[in-house]
Amino acid sequence: MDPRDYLHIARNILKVDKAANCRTVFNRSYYAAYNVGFVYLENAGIHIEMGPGGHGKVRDYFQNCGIQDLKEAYQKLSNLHSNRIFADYHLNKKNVEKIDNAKMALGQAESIIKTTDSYSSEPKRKIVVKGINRYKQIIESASKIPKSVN
Amino acid sequence: MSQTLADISLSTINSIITKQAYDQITDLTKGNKWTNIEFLETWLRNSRVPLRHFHDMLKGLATQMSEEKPIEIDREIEVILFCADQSLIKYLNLAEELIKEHFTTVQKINFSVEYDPETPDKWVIADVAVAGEIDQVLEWENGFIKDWVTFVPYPERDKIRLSCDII
Repeated sequence: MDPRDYLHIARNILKVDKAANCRTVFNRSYYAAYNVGFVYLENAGIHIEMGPGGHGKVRDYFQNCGIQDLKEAYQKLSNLHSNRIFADYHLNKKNVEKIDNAKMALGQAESIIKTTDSYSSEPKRKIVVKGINRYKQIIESASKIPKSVN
Repeated sequence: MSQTLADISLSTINSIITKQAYDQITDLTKGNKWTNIEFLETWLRNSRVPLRHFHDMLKGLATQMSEEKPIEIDREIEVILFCADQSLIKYLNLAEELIKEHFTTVQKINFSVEYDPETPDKWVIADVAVAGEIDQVLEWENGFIKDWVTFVPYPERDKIRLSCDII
């Protein structure tokens, strides 16, 4: 399934201005953008664990790929992630029940996906993957350095 | 035909912004405050200031009025403790400055610590109450993020996040 289809659902839901609809738009917008990033990395051979920990990893890798556009896009995903948690868990939070805010979330998801897609063809894709692999190597090397004991 | 104050539209006043012009008008009026429209009209009639010059002065007045509008800032004690623990205080201050700079109609900023119920992750969220159209606020948010990513290293920048509330 193409995660972009979640955006169609979000747009349709927005036709009715109700609290539950707005909250669902935050959720679907986030998952559309997150899964586009997830699939991008998987297709590039960069494995992301399934489950809650994978969300942070997708942001972590794109935020450290060395490309400003993608860093900005995945900072937006962090913001969207926070709002998705408000929408899903914080039933007293009213800003995720407003249609204008829900439209903004949808707009940000579209923007994240557009930026990600703009780096999906060669040679841009190769540069992204190289940047992420370099970051992974640095992290792995750093984790092997023994901590000093006082 | 002479032009009066009524010829200058509110949108003209609102669209004009320079600090220098305000300093200029303050100097010209010798410190008088424009507390009412009658004073303004009288002053304009007597001063023989060209209309174009007057427009420039209004730019400054609009700036001063917007600068004086108080922005409500709320930082919970938990935010300060979290930021101190994570060495984020300077970035918290930067976030506040950048929000004020980019979201020109911001009315309230509420900082709080939030957590992910699905993982051990915690972060500060800046709830920004802002007036404006969706496209305009999106543009402001994009500008903020561009600066945020430029000035704040990772992972620190991921620990202070933004949530806009269009009011």
